[in-house]
Amino acid sequence: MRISDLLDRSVVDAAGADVGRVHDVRLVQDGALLGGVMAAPRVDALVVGGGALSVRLGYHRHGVRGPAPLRALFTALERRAVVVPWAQVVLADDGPLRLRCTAAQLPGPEGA
Amino acid sequence: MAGRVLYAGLQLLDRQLVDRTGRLCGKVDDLELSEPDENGHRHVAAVLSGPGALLARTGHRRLGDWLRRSVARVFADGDEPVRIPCSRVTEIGNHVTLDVDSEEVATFASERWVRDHVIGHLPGSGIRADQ
Repeated sequence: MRISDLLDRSVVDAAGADVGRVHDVRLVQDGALLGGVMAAPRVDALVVGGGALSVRLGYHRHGVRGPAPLRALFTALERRAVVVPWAQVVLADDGPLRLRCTAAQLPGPEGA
Repeated sequence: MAGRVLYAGLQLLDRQLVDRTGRLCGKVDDLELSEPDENGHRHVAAVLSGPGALLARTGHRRLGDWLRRSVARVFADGDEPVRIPCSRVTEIGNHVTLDVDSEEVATFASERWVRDHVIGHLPGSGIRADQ
């Protein structure tokens, strides 16, 4: 499996509702050391939805203190973004990715 | 979440690959993920770079696989240097640093072939053809 198999895939929740498309894959380097140098990046979450760019750039609601217009802009964008923990994703060879929960049960971008 | 957070699309894909001597040796075209471990976790197993890897990412996987196999057969003596194991990655920053020589990766397969099969045979090239 490749990262490109995940990017741009549609995501639907457990109720069949459209959640959006995968814009990025969040990795966390907390695995075993590879070659004694670098921790293996683990797939942690999918960044899905229209406001994904602001989350990818780190402009979370609590990350932007000002100026006020930028805070308002990124707060609005972030509302449209969904960060889906990897454990909630059901992989399929083709078609949309399915979630084990509904979109309303997903944690926010900071909490995921 | 204790480790460093990376976004694959933003911080890895299309980044410059640099070999152990600082020489440029291609771009990150795709990432291969491992099979799930006992906890269901998948890790990045390899960086894919070179002929065919980008085609697969842009939705032309069959064409990409054909190109990769063809280049491996003709230029790389059957090896598939398109795949660089993650254990050979030493740093991810503005660029991705590898613990390999640029000549080992697929981007240089055609240059290697020309050196070994054409330039090396020219008198005075200073290159032994069997190197």
